[in-house]
Amino acid sequence: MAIPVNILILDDSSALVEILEHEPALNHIVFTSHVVDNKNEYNTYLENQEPDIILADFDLPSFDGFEALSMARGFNANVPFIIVSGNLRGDPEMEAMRGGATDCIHKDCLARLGPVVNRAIVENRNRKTLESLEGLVEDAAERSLAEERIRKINSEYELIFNSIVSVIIGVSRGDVITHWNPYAEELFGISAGDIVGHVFSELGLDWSWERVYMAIADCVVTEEPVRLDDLSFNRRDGKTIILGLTINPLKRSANEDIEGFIILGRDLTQRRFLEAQLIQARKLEAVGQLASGVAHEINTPIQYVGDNLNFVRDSFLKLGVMKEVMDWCFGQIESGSKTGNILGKYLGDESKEEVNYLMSEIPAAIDEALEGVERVAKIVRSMKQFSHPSQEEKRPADINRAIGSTVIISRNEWKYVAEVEEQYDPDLPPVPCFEAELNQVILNIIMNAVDAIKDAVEAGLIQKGLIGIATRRNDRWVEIEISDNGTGIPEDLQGRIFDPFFTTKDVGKGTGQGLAISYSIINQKHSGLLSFSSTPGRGTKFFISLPLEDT
Amino acid sequence: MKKRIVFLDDDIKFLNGIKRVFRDMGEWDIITCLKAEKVFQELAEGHVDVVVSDYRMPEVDGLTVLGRIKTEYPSVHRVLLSGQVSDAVYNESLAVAERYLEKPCDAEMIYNVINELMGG
Repeated sequence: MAIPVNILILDDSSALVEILEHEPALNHIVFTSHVVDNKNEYNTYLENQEPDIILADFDLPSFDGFEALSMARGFNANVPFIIVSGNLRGDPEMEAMRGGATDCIHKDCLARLGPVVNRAIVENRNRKTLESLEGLVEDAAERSLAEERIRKINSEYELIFNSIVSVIIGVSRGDVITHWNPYAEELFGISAGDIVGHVFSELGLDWSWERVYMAIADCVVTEEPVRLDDLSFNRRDGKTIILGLTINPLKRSANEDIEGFIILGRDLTQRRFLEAQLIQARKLEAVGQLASGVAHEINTPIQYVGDNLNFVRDSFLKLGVMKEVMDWCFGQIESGSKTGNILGKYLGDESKEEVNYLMSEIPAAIDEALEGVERVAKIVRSMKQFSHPSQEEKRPADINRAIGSTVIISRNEWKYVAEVEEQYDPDLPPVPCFEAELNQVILNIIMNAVDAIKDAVEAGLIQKGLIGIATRRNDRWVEIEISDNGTGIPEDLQGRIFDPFFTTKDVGKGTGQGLAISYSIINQKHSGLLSFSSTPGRGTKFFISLPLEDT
Repeated sequence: MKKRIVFLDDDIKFLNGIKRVFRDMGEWDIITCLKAEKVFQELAEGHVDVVVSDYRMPEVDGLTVLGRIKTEYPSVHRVLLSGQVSDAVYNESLAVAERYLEKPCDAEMIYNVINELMGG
């Protein structure tokens, strides 16, 4: 149903209303009309209602049409305002039109009233429609600008999200995957389409879910990003991937709850591979450095093993000859010949001395040869133990034996400058470790101790070096202590000794990687602690703590 | 006169082995020393034909000992018998030792080298 057109009539009679009601031109229009005849009423009406059209008799007693027009314009610049007047001709009419009246009708021509009102109504309706259309157009323009901006932001965000070479996974509080970027698709071999909207724990990866959920739990409790390093899984193509993840809480503001997590991840496979290679290279380097020393350690016992065996063989030949002579003599004696007796007596004195010598020397020579063989075997065993094949994971090891081996194969490096005092706790349980890497750390610290002792001897601080090595158990940890009475570490350098490439040695003598690698082997690979205390001029103590249980 | 051969090494077992194996080889007196001082004592006290020295020892290295002998007792023959396998040691030894041998070494070879040095 059409909304009635609301016509305000300013008139001191109902003449105009009657004309309107009987006007055939307005037959099709439903309208309501309201007649006012004074300024106050007019004003009140304008304040409270919104007329669609105003008809004003120009010749009212209380105020004239001009005033009525400007009052109407004060409320609404566009409402059609039609003046009806008996006097209006010429100038006043023009003036009224200039003041914004829509039309002027002389009382002689009231027949125009219907069509004029009709036109005003139509025009007003059209204007209103146009206005609202204009508004729509303006809104639309604004909205399209905003949309363009959002599209741009979105596409930038998408560009970043798609091209970043890190895993980005969004997980809702309800454990549903909300984001899965192309790098994640590539790294995990799972497409976003297959996984977004699925429950995170149903990802189908064989990584340690226990560690992942522990980290997530940590993240929920602390509301802080939680790092999860060296998380490995087997990809569908069979490749083992090692990841470093950070689980970041998603929160809008401090007092709101966590909405979910953004999991950022990097592929550490290549890096770990290079690190392992570096450690392996360092191991080979250490073995190479030790090789000539070890050769020296082995060559001397081999020499006396050979000498003693030669001696034993020759001695037996000699004893064999002597026995033959004796047998001949005994034969002569038995046959009653005196020659044998005399010869036997003559030979007896010299032989007795020789036999006595051989009887005491042969066992000694054999013992020393055996000791030599044992020494060589021990060095070879130690060498083997030192360069223990690389392991994928920690295995329980007798670290007393491991350290002992390292001491043996490095003997040639320290034996001319220092004594080594070993105090191993005999009740030490097997310690989960990467044995070859641990040996490397021990060797490194021993070699540093030897250098510090050499410097201290040269500086006249000490006569002879002393390297103390001890192991002990401390609750759920095993501690290894390696001390020396060398020069110590100057205080201003103490904070830097674990820095990569830090060295105090001459160019070509040290790579400055030894302690940095030792630190990473103990603290990262073993979740242990490598620390030290040093007094310049007195010596240094290194402490290695290794956890007995895997954390 | 019996030839006197001095062996210097910091390993008693090595010296024992040498003593045993050389006992019946040639008409030599074998004198074994654990320390360099004893070598110089022997040199000072009487006649020595050959000194065979190890290279690495705790107090002084074999090349230093042989160098000193070369200066102080130029007529005494000098052999380096080293367990240290290294070109550097070999090159250094050329200046002070007449012969260079590496452990382990056949007793017979040591014997031959000594014999040859003494013009035997």
